[in-house]
Amino acid sequence: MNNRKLPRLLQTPAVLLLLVWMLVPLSMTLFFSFIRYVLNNLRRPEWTSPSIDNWRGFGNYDFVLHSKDFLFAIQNSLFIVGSILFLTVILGVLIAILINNAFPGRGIVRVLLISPFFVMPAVNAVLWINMILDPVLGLQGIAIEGINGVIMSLKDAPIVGWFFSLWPTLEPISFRATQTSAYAVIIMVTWQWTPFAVLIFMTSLQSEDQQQKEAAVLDGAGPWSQFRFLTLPHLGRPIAIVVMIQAIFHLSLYAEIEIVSRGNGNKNLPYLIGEFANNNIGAASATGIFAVILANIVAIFLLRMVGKTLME
Amino acid sequence: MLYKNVLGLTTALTMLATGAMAADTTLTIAIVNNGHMINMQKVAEAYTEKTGVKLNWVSLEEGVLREQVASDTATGGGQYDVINIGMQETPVWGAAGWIEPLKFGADYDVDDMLPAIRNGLSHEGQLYAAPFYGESSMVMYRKDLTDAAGVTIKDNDSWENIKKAAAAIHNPDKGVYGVCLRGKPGWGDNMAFLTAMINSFGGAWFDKDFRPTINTEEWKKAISFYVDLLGTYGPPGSEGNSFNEILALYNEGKCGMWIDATIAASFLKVDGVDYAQAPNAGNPVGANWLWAWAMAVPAGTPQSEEAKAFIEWATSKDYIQAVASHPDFGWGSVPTGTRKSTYAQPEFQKAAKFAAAELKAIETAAPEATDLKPYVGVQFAAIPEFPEVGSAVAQEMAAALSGAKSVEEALEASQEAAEAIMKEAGYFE
Repeated sequence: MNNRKLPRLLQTPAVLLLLVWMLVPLSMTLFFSFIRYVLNNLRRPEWTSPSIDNWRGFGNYDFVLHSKDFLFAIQNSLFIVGSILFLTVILGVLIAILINNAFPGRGIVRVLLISPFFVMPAVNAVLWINMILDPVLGLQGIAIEGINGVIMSLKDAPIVGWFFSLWPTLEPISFRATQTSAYAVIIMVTWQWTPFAVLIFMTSLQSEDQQQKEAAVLDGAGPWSQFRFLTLPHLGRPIAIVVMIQAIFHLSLYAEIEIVSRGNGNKNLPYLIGEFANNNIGAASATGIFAVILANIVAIFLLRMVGKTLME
Repeated sequence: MLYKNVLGLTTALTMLATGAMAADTTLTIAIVNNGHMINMQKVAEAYTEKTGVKLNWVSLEEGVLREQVASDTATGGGQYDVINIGMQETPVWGAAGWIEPLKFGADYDVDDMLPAIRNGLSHEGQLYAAPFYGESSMVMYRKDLTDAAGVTIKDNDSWENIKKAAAAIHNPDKGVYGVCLRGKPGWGDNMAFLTAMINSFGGAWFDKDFRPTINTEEWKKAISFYVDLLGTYGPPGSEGNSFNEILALYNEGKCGMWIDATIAASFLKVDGVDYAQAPNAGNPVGANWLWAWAMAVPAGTPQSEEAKAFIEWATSKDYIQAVASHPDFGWGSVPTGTRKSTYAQPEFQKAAKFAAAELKAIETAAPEATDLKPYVGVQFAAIPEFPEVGSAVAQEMAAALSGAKSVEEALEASQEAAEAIMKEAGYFE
């Protein structure tokens, strides 16, 4: 008995600290989400202090649930996370297999491939949206202007001129528009996170059983069958881990959305919280609780998935 | 919640830090990262030399500054001794008791201040923030292009004429777009321009009971005109452009005409620019906005006397002289739009070609509440809920500009969102 009590006693401070660390913010959020709490209100100054007298029940939740972009924010969160996961896993597997074999300069290629991951999210967004995707001053705008110029000059060329005069003038795409801002975020985050997937898959591929592969080759298995029946099952576990870690990170995207579109046609729950947190702390807290619920739902599915691959 | 934690921690750390240095006075000053404020850090070295007061600058981007300062001031965090705030916040925060009233000595010459600016920074006749620089809006157009196209732009021109001029100089094959206007969502971004424009069409944000009046005919006319004008004669990707983006486009020679803050004039590097007062559809409220970045003292700072003394210096005539005679700057870099005496300086008139147009624009802007516009503020409403309402509407306007929604749909969605926010804030049931 005694030799069990002592370690537990020694652990208590750490456990207590952890509990406080987690419980205080969470319970404050819960409390704020049930009261009227705004930072500034000239009509109702009593709402500006967090007091139990301003109890509101589920009123904040009701307000958030019926606010303009709530459902859209959830849909958009899932759309962004889903698309990024899909793209990074596919690109990650392909690139990892491509650079798994030895070739001259492999070290340099690997370093270059991995470097996007070390760019800070805000820098990433600013770079992409202003220097690459901008329809006038960015690479996109310059490239399209250049292509249009070449086609224009070829229209007057002899013999082939008629062919080019059938070509339409290209219009640059605005990636800050309502319809496209989500794609801009998906593009830049995929660019940033594919290296992470590549890194994990590459390490995993190195532990692939070579004897099994040789046996498969002897049995006449082609490259596709090898990939389908040996490599892909082998990558099951790392894929699950990549999906889980990335899902957690991408549910809380903020910087990219702010910089690309300021929430125009593209927002998620963290962004909605940010919008409320300017003044309405009650609503922001209620949104926070919704975000916790959403994250838990996603986590339950992902944990099941990971658990399943670990069991196999 | 993490944000709250971090905020609490940084507050605690700063308090520790300021506590430790209390012996010799150090003022912590939160500033917006605009050119004039950045210059102030250099000019103020003389102030430290003269008075021994050390200055600790925290320079932040506009949006971040607002959020930081608002939560710090609201919770009495006491992180800052002097804060940069704008015309939207000043009357509201003054009313809430978040900032201290400012009373300066006779030397300061309060009457030298431009009346519109002074009114905009006051609550019930009392000055709550001292203006560092002020601005209105005007048309900045390329006279070489309009001359070549054979069109003219007058002061307070009609919107129809502006459209004709834009059409005449629009030449996308040569990389010149007729008109550049703000489209990036944000109450201080596209809505600053749009509100001024809507004013000129006779529209307003709220009626006298603070019910939103966004789905009105005036708004519809104004927004339809804007979407059509900018969609047809504007550069692609306008929904992403605000002040800085358009400034870059303008200086690349891509814009024929630009209606924006007067302060832009001092950054224009293109030849042949001329200025005109903002267009108007015939409404007495006018179509030019009014804004000032000002300095205020948050309530509860233990060093409020020192803070006020610093503000008195930084917004005085002496400061403007100090910038003008500073080896790195000169009359072209002085903060404008605050004092009549600045515009009376011949050196300034020579250095700033736009001075007369700017002064006229500021003087004709009317921040006071009227029957047409029953709230304080020209291109915003000075109420605490406005940033929330303004951002929600701003996104809808960007959606209308992108073509994702029709103007009617965007206005209906805006009205609904604004009503929900105002109802939530307790203005009506």
